[in-house]
Amino acid sequence: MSTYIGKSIPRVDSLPKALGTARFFDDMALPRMLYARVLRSPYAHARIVSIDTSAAKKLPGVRAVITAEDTLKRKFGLLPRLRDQPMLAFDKVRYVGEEVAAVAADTEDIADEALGLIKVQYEELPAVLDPVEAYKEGSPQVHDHVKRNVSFTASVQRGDVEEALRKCDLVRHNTIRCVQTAHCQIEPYGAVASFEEGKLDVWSPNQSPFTRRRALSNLIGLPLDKIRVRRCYIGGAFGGRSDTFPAEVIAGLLSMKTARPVKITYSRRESLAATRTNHAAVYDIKMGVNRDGTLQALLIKGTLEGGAYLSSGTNATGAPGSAVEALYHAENFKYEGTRMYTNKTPSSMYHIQTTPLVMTVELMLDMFAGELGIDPVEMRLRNITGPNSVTSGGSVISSCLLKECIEKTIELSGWKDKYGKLPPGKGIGMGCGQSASGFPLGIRFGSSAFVKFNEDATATVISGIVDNGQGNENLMFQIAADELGLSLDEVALVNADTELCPQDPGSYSMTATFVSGNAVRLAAQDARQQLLTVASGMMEVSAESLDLKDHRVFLKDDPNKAIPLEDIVRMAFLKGTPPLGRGTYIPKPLSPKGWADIQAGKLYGQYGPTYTFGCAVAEVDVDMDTGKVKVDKLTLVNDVGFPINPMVVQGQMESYSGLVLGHVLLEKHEWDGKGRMLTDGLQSFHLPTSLDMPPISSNLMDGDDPAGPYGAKDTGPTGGVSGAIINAIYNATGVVVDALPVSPETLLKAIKART
Amino acid sequence: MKKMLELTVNGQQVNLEVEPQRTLQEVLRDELGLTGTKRGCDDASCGACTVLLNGKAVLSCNILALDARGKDVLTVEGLAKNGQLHPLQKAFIERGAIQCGFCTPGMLISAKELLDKNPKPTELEVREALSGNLCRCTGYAKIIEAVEAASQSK
Ligand code: FES
Ligand code: FES
Repeated sequence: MSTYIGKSIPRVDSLPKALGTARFFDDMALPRMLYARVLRSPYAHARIVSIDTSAAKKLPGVRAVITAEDTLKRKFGLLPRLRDQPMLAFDKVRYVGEEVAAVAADTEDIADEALGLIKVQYEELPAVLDPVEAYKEGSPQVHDHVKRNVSFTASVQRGDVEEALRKCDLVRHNTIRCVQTAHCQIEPYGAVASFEEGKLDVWSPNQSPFTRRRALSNLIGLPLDKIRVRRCYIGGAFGGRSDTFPAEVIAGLLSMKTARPVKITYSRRESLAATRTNHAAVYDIKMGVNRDGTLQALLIKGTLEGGAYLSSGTNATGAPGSAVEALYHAENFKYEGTRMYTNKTPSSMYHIQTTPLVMTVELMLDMFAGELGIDPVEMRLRNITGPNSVTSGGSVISSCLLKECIEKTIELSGWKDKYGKLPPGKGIGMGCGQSASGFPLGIRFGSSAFVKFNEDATATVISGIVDNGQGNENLMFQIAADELGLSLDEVALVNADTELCPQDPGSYSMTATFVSGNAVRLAAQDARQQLLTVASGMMEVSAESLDLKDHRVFLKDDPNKAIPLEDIVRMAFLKGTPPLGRGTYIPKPLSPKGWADIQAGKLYGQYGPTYTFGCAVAEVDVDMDTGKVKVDKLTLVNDVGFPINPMVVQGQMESYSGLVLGHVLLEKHEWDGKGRMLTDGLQSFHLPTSLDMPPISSNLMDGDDPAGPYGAKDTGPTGGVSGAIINAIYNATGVVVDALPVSPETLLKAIKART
Repeated sequence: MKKMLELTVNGQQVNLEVEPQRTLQEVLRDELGLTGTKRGCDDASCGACTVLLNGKAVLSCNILALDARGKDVLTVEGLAKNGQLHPLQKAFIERGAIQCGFCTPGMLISAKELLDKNPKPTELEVREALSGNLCRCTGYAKIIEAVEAASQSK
């Protein structure tokens, strides 16, 4: 039996975090370090006529001032064809907050003062602040080469959905709209850069060091081996730290210019208004079922508002469709997503960005269930995907315990005693969810890892894995310690460093467990095999007859015949075969076609290598006089395969629940008529507090994925919490929510309209 | 003009010169290198910078360093004593209440103020005491559990 795999052991990184010694980028101070600040556009759309930095440069204490003229004038984008964001604006600015110039100075105060001395002459242009307006013929164009501001389209299709809708017994048509929200990591954004001896070191919160290195190389013009993206503690990501941002490029350029380290720390305001938001979206959904409650047709049109740049909008445009097609089976399915440019803060992927759509599909299932007199639980069981099924987009789902998740959630929540039996204002609802563990990332899809032994029989694991706070690093400790027969404190981890570690996809698609975990497992197993081989020579038995556990190698048949691990390691060094393990894991595409023709925006083939599922029940209390919703309790059951650390997985389920509750009930960005974000502080942008969150019962199925390490899959935004909350509100009030967030005012109005 | 500031930080007497407009947060982080005290906002709204000032939880970004003159400051770095973790630190670690850890220092300090005043709080009292400390990673569930566990272990 394993010592660490499958156990709820505390995370290794929690000690430095509890002591206050864990260093985030802003906690760093390097010798001779300078401080940088950024001058940002006050206009949503304007032509830059001229920039005069002469006065700023003369201010004592200012060491460098840069504008686009000091850059290569290249643009950032996830794919070469789709590069659209300059790191310092040239020609035009496209949103309020866009980077125009930057200063490095001895102190932040001096840098700030210098910003005030930079004279920029703008010629204001008409801005487009609404995606519907943006599409109209003759509207201002955010990018000169993009007609009608269509940023990206993506579609998934199976069968003839229009025809099927005509033939269904019952058809519903709902819409849902949501405004921009934010990832709102509690750590504000920024970077430290240090250029020395021709090499650039960069520390900044990021989800994928290798992707970032590639982008920095393109933008700054240094080859990959001259850029080192380094590990630091990261204060949350949630999909919002996957792009490369101007902060690290600016810090890098300023460091190259001054030959001194440079730190740039964004204010909360800059973090909210000038990094990324979640997409605003409108979904138009037609769903058709037969009288027996089986789903026959689903037609979804999504319009996403993407702001000024594409960011990770390619994935964001397709993800809502993928979220639905791998959850419920509809023989006829069509999803069409269109992403629009507007003159606002760019929007990126967000961990829970499919919330409005998935939630509304869940709501429609409940409405059908009511109409047909079918129990909501039964309604789900008749339509969910199962193991070894193929989704509309052509993905094969291997392991799936969604049915079991539903049954267990219903049992644990006491659903049967509550549904239909609650007093007015109280409600209970259920929802389901799934997420793919990773999606194809081309040459960055796979991960490699090394394990090296030190002569005292401790081991160092080298993996590109990055931890944004969710516990990825700890996973690697657990896997390596178990495979190598060591205790956790005899394992060291070198990670998230592009110079020291082999390539890794990063943690931006729920792949850390599946891909990076498998690579570390294989590397550790390789080192283990080498140790067994050395031991077999020492014991004069075959390596196959030996096992390694608890610091010793022993005969499987006679565990008393053993050699201490330390002796074996020493012997390995003496014999000139020091144990060096290596492992590479690249998920196999299960479908022949591979995924998605990105150019054409057609999504087909294997999306994620495996899928994670979950079910949730929410209980709510709606104040019928004020419209205020209080979520009293959440009960969750997830299928993450075999959970490597149940406590960490539960933590991620609770994390996801907090994000969803905020998105559904509280969070909302607002803008004025000039495209300025009004909600750029935590007093105006409302995150859930400890008083908003209910107690959460988070439970796990004991699953087993055929390809996952030890049978594990990643935890994702899986739990069905949004559907559960929205259905509980429907159950309590009869109100069909059609916009997020559900504010007390809108809900009260809807309640009044019904009575 | 810099002014003299004397205060006690984590049990140690500190004397330094500071500019009058510096906040306690800036002095702790930039002058004393106590970077466990975090900065998460611009307008005293996140709680990541919470420290104890004469036993009372305050937002260190919201008071001038000079106003702490002669007072006793406790930051997260001062919670563990002689290599022994504070029961709250232990409970946070054991219960999985720490994810990214950015809110953790502030949470621990707010929770300490609560348990110092009210050793056996109810769940609601815990939630109220922590309601000024924002966390984006945990949904608060395991943080509340950890504070309750620490209160029971005392
Ligand atoms: S830094 Fe946010 S409250 Fe002090
Ligand atoms: S643990 Fe990340 S903000 Fe609380």
